[in-house]
Amino acid sequence: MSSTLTTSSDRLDKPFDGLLTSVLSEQQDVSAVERFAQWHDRTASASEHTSASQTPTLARLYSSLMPATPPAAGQQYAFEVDLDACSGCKACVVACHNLNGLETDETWRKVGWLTSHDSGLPIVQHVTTACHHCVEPGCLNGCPVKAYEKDPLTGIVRHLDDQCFGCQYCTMMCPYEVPQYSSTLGIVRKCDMCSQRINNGEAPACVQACPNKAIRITLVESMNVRILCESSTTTLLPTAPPSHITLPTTTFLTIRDHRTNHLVSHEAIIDHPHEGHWPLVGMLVLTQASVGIWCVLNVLLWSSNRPWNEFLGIALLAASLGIVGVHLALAHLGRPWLAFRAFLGWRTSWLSREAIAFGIFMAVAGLTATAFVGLRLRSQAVFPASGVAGLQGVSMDQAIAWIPSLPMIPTLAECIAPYTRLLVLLSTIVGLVAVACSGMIYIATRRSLWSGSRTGLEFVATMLGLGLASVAINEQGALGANLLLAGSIVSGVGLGAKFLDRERGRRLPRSNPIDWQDFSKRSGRLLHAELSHAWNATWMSWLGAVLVSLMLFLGIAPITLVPTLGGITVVMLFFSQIINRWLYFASIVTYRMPGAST
Amino acid sequence: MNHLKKRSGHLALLPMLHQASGPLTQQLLLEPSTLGLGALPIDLVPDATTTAVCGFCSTGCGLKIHLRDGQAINLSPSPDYPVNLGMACPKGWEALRVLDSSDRATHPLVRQPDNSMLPVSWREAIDRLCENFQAIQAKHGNDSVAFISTGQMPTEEMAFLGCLAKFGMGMLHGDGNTRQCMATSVVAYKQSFGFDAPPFTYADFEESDCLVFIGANPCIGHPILWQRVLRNRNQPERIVIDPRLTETAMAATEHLALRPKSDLALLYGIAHGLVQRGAIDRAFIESHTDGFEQFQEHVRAFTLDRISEESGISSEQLSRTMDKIASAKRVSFWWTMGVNQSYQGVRTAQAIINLAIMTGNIGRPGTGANSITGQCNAMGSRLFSNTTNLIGHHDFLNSKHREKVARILDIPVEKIPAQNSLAYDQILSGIESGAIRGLWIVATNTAHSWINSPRARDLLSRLDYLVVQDMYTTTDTVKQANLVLPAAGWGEKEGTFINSERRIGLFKRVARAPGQALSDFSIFRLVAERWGCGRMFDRWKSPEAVFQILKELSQNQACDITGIDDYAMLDRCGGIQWPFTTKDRCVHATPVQERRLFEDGQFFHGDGRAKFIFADPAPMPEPVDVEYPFLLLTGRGSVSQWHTETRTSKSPILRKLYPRDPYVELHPIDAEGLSISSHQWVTLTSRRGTATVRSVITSTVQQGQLFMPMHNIQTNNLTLEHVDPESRQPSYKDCAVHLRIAEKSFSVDTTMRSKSRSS
Repeated sequence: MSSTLTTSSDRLDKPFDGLLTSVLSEQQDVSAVERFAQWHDRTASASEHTSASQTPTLARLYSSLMPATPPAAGQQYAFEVDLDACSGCKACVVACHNLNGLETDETWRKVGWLTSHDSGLPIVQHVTTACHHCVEPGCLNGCPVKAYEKDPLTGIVRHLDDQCFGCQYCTMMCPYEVPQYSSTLGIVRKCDMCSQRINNGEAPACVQACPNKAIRITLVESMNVRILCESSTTTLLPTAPPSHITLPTTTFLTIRDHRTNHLVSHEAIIDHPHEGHWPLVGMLVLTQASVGIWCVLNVLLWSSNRPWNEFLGIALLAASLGIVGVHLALAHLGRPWLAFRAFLGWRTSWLSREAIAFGIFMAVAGLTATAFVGLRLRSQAVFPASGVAGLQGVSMDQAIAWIPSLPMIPTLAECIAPYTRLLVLLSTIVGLVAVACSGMIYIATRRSLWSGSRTGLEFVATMLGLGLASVAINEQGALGANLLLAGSIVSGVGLGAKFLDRERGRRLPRSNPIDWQDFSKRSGRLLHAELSHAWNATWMSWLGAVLVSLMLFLGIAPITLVPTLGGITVVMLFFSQIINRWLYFASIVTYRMPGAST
Repeated sequence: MNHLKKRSGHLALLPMLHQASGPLTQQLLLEPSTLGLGALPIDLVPDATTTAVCGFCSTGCGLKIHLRDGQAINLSPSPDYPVNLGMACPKGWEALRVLDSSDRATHPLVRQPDNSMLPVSWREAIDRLCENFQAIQAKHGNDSVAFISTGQMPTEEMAFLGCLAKFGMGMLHGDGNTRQCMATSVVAYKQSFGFDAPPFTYADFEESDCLVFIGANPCIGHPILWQRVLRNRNQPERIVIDPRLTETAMAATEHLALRPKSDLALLYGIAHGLVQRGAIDRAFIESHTDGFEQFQEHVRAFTLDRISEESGISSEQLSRTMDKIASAKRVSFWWTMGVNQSYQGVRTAQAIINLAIMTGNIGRPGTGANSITGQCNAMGSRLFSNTTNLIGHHDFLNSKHREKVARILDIPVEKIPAQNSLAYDQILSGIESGAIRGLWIVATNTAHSWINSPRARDLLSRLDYLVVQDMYTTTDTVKQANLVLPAAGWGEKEGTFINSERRIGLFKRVARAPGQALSDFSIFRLVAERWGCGRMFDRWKSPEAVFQILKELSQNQACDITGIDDYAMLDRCGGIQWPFTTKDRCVHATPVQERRLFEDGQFFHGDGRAKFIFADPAPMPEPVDVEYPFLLLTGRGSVSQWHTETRTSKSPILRKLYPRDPYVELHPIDAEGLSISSHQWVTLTSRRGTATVRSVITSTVQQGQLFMPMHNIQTNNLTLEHVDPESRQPSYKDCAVHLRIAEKSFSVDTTMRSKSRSS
C-alpha cells in the first residue's frame, strides 16, 4: 500500500483535486440547514402565525417568576435572589450579555463567591447580583447631566445612554459598582431590569435563563425598603456596602445559617489599585493651586503697600492654572463635546455644582487677571518700561506688549482695573466654593477614605501649599523663602493620612479576612506594595522641595536664588501633589459586593 | 465649560440638552420577535431558527440557533428540547462566539527546520501526511503509526477516522481522549451489565426519592442536569459523597466528606449496612443477578467501624446515610470523574452498580446506577469510534463480529484487525519503546491534558511524525506538530452526538469555517482518497450517509438504532435515545421521549443477569509523607471553563467568569501553618514537577488536601501517571505534593508565560 502514492500519483491527482474543490465549496455552503424541520419558523410565514405564536415559548417557564400585577402606588419592581438555589453556573451573566446585545466583554450581572475562613463552618456560596434599582439611587443623584431616571411606575432605574457624556461619576456614586464605563462608546451603561421586556410581559434575560429559577422579579414597598435599610449596619450581603446609602431593593433569601461575620468574598477583600483618573488629577491639582494663589494674593494685597502691578505675573499664572485645570476635566469625559450639559443636575449633583462654580470661577479669574493687565497698562503710561520693575517686570511687559494692540481688551482692562481688589476677593470666594464642591463630589460617595476630613485636609493642603509656594517665586528676599517653606510644609500635610495608612498596612497580608473593614490598613497595604513606586515619588519629591526651601530659609543657599531654586521647588511640589492626587484615586479601598472583579 | 449654557433656553437646543433617545439608545433597543424567542436586540432579530445539540459536554442541550440568511447570528437554549427545557450553561450560550478567534487554523501548516510553521495547500498537506505515515509503516511496520481520537467529534466523523485508520491505512492502534474520562464506566458497565449501557434517562433526576452523588459535582460539571435535580418535587434526600464541600455538597441533605480513595471501602460498607438492615430486594437479586452470595460475603469485612475509620466519617452519619438509602423507594446513584479517574475506578463504579442491583433500584423511574458522561460525544465514541470496540460495540476478537462489519461495510474481512488496540497510555509508552513512531491526534490536547504531561510532551517530541488536526493553532499539542490540519468546529459542520442518557442529537452547519478549514469529515475523505483507499469509502460521502451505515452496524446490538429514519427524524423528535429498533418503530412512530433500560430486568449478558463484581480496595500508590505532605485533588474549576480551554478561553465573556490567574485551594489551617495568605503566589512541587499559582484559602477543602483545576497546564506537571488496570483510565486525583510560598524572584513574566501556555 505504501507505494500506491508514488506509482500512481498522476492517476490519483484528478479525483483528489475534484474532491478537494467540492469539499472546500461545500464547507462554505450554509444552505444545508434549510432542509430541517424548524425552518417553518421563518418570518416569511409570520402572517399566517396566530398571535399565540408570538408569545415567547419560554413564557410558561418564567411566568411564575414574575409578579402577577404591575406595581401599585408606593411599590416598585425588585430582583429577588434565592441563594440556596444559586449554584454558581453564571448562565444569568451570559444570557444577559447575549440577549441584550452587549459589547464584547460587557456584563451587567456578576456572580460572586462567598466563603468561610472558619474551619468549623465550611461554606461556599455563589451570589448573583446586578443593579439593585435603589430607592435613592446614588447614580441618579450624582449624575450631572440627568442621564438617569427612576421610572415612577416601576421603580426601575434607567440610564439614558444618549444623554450621558461619560463623566463616570455614577461609577463612584454607586456603592455597588453597577454602572460600567465603556471607553469605546464613551458612556456608561447598566442593567435596566430588561424594562423593555418587562413592559412587554416578558421576564428579564437573567430570570429567563436561570436553570435553577434562583432569580425572580417581585414587588417591594419602597417604605419597607427604607425601614429595612435604616440601620447603618444593614447590608445586602457580607462585604457589601451599608444599605442605608442608596436603599437597594434586591432581596437575597437563604435558609442556611450563614452567620455572616464568618463569610467573606475574596473578590471583595483582595485589593487592586484603582483607576487613577489622570485628567481629574490634573484638574483638581491645577484648580486648587489656582484658588490657593488667589487666596495668598488676597492676603498679600491687603497687607502690603507694594504696587499691585507687581503681581501681574502671578495673577496671570493663577488665572491660567484655573482655566487650564478646568479644561483638563474635558479629557476625562467620554463625550467632551456634550460638556455643556454638566449643569443640568445641579439640584442633586455636586459634580454639576462644581461645574457651575468653576465656570463662574474661570470667568471671574479671567477678569481679575485682565484687571491686573489694566493696572500694568496704566502704570506703563506713567513709568514707561525701563527696567524699573526689575527682571520680572521687564519680561512681563514684553509678554503683555501685544495686548494694547487687541481690540476691546485694553479698554476693558483699564475700565476694570480700579476694581482689582474686589475681583481678587471674588476670585478667592468663588474659587473656594468651587474647591469645596470638588471635595463634596468625593465626600458624597460615602467612602471612608474619601471622608470629609480626609478629602478636606488633602484638598486644602494642596490649595494652600501650592498657592504659597507659587506666590513665593514672585517674591524677593526673605518673604519668598518664608512663603516657599510654608508652602512646602503645608502641602506635606496632604500626604500625612496616606503615610499613616501605609504604616498601619505595612504588614497586612494580601487578603485579610479578619479585619477586612479596616480600609485604612488595606489602602496602606496597597501603598506599601502595588503602589509603592508612586508613593515613593510623592514623598521624595515633597521632601526634596522641603530641603531646598529649608536651604533658602536658613540661608545655606543665597537668597538671590529664590526665583530659580523656588521655581524648582514649585515644580517638585506640583509633581508631588499630582502623584498624591493620583494615589487618592488609585489607593481607594471600600466595601465591594461579592463578584467584584479579581 | 459654561459658555453654551447661557443659550440653553433656546428652543433648538432643548433636544441637545435632554436626549432621551438617539443612536446609543438605539443600540440596546429590543424588538419583539415572531419566532417564539421574545424580544431581541434589533440587530440580532433572526429570520429563522434551527435547533442544534451543544458541542461541549455530554448533557447534550438543544440550542436554538438564530439564523439570518442561513447564517448563525446568535443562539438561545431551546425551550422544546427534552434535555435542557430552555436552559443552557455559559458554555452553551457562547458556543458560537468561540468559533470566532484570531488563532483559528485557516490553512494546513507544515513545521519547518527552523521550527516555524509554513502554510501549505491542502494537496501538499495530505501528500505529506500520506508520504510520512506510509514511509514509517514501510520501515517499521503498519502498527508503528497510531491515532488518538476524541469525544468532541460527531459520531460519523469518529467512525470515519476509526475505519479509515484501521481498515484503510492499516493501523492497529488507536484510542480516544475518552480514555481520560469514561473508560472506567465503559468497563464497569460491560462487565456488570454485558454492554456499555448507562441505564438512565434524565427524568430519573426528577423522579427519585433519594439521589446519591459519588465523586460528582453537577452544579459545576453539569449545571443543566442540576436543573433537573431541582425540578424534583419529592423533596428527595441528596446524599453527596465527595472529599470537597462542592456546590453540590452544599445543597446536599447529607454530605459525606470522605478521605480520598476511601470510596470503595465506604461503598462496600454501605452495601454491608443495607444487607444488615434487610434493605435488599431478594426477588430481584434471585431472578436477575449473579454472584450476590459471594458479594455479601465480601462486604461482611467492611464493618461500620472499619469504614468510619478509613473514610473519616462518623459512624452516626454513616448509619444515618444507610437508613436514608434503605428507606427510600426510588434511589438513584450518580457518579462522574471522582469515581472514573481512579486507579480502582472500575471496581468503585461496580460497587455503585452493586448497590443499585442489590436493592432493586434499577429499571424503575428515579433509580439506576448512572454514570454521567463527560464530553459531548463520549457516548458516540464508546459505540462507534472503532478504537477499543470494533465499530458498533462489536469485538475485534470475535470473528463473527468481524464478518458482520466487513459485510456491512463491504470490505474484505482481512482488513479488520483481529487484535485489540493499545490504550492511550500504552500508545504513549509505545513511543518510548520505539513501537509507535507516527501519531495522528484529532481534536484533543494531549500535551496539556495527559497525566504527568511533561512526560507526554517529551514523548510527543520523540515521534518521527506528528499530525495534529485542530480548530486552533495555539494548543500545546499543535505546538509540537509536524503537520497541522485546520479543522472546522461545531456549528461549521454537521453530525450527531450521543449524550449521557443515550440520546442521539443532531447539530448542523450554520456558520462558515474560516479560511480553508475543513470539517474533519472532509479531511478524512481527502486522506482516504490520497492514501489510495478511497473506494473503500465510496458510501461515506456525507455524515448522513455514514449515519445510515452506523444504523446497519447497530442492528441486533443493544444500541440498535435501526428504527431511526434519518437526520430529519432526529431533528423532529428532539433527539432519540438508543435503542430504537425497527420493531420499536412499528409500535411508536415517534419514540417516547424519555426511556430507561432494564425495565424488564433483562441485562445484556448471555444469561440476562447482571453480575456482582468486586475486589479488595488498594491503597493509593503515592500517599502523602513528610516530604510531600499534601494530597492534590484535581477537577473542573468553573462552569465557564472546558478542559484545556482551547475553546472557552476564546470567549471574552467566558474568560471573564473565572479567575484571571491559575490557583490552588487550600484549607485555612494549612494556610496558617505555612503563613500563606489568600491570593499569594505559591509553588507546588511533586516528585515530577512544579506549578506556581495563586492561593485560595477556603474551608471547602479538607486539611492536608489541595484542589487545583485541570484547566491550568501546570496541574499535570504534578500528577502521578498511574491507571486503573481494568480500564486504563488515568487516576488524576491522588498524588502527593509539597507546598510553599513562591520565591520572591517569581516574576510577572512567569505568570504571563504560564497563562499564555494554558490558553
